Amino acid sequence: MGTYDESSLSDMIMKYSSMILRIAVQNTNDFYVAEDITQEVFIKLMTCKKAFDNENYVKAWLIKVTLNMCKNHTKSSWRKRTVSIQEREATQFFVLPEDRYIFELIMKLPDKYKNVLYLYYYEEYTVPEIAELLDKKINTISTWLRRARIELKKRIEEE
Amino acid sequence: MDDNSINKYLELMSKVKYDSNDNEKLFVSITKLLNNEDNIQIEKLNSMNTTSMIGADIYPKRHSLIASIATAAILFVLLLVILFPDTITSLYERFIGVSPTPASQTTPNFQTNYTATPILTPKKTPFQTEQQTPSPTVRNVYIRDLTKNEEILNNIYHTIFPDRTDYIAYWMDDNIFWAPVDQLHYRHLYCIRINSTTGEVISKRYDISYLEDSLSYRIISINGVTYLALATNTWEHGELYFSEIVNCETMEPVWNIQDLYPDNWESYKVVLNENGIDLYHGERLDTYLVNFELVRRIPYDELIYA
Repeated sequence: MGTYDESSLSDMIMKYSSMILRIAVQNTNDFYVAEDITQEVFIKLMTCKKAFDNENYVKAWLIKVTLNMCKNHTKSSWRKRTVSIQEREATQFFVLPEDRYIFELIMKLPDKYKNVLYLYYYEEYTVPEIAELLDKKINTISTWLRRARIELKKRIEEE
Repeated sequence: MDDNSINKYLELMSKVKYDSNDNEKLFVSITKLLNNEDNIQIEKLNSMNTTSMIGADIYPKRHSLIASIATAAILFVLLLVILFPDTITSLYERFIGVSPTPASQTTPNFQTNYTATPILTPKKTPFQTEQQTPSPTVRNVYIRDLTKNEEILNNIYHTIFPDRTDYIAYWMDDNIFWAPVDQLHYRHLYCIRINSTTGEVISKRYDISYLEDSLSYRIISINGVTYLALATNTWEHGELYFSEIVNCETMEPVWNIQDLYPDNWESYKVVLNENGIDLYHGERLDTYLVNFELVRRIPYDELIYA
């Protein structure tokens, strides 16, 4: 077992489960898989022997592990895509047709853009922090963010 | 944040969440899993931190002990060879009658530059079949010594599957062994052996996963940086493709097919050539028949520096 006990797990779940779910949904476009990934991320946290200096590190670690797991899933999903993905698409999660439509548009953005958008606007990380988190150069993140904004605007306005 | 599209995005993402009930369910399922002694997943996660990179988790669990002993024995012999090379050579000559082949000759010949050059004829191994006929003009490799190669392969594999530490990628004779043997995804177990000379798959083991028909790769060097280009092809109810280029030094993917075609990347097949890729679009005529059309040729540097 790692450095966390059940009460800290409960805290962590309350604080970060939605964040992990959002990142996973964005990257997999599949709620079932996103939920699996969320669970696995917490299991990893619980079994991880790493000692974190503070909560910011835990959050960053969780984001990174989630992104890696999503990446793994993407890499393997092309292998196993035998049933209609339509049936499992995350759009079905949304009740309102407008939400579904916008979510579909967002899903069509490249993963790197979605992740940068999410981390910058939703989690309110700064560009240098995102760069550190994703192991990219600051300029790269700035470019991705700029392109992501343009793409998102273009897609949503074309709606 | 006056951008309306961003506001819409934030509004939508805020609807994706776990409520307190979901959190509770999640907590219960995680604690159940963590407390389940038979859960292989957890055992593996726990063992990941202690499994050596050259350890034998490449085999199923029941073979892990044998594999560990074998690994230890190999390491011991290697240590003897390193410490007492002359003694080993004389003993070898005495009992076998010929001098052992120097390591440099048994290791596949790597080319320092990025040119297609005939390379060492691969030795026949028990895993090779008639289909693995070497095609020396189609492969480019980059000089590395054995240890460095193993390290690179491990790093490459680790890059592609960043969370997997329970695998090993290593080099033996003419084969690169990429053997994660664990789940790429928890529903899919696989192990694959690749002929390092031809790049062809020699053998594979699957539990649930679908067939992986081919995997081709090239190690290329551009402006002093080494990259690994990978192209895979799978079919089960039709063909699916994936291709990617990884920077071997930073271990970062620098390009993948999704960059070009984010919406329908599965339909594009990549053939890795000497200077770049040939990109084919596969139009499905029926379940098992795909008509390929060459879309374009793109140099590697154009992909990498895009």
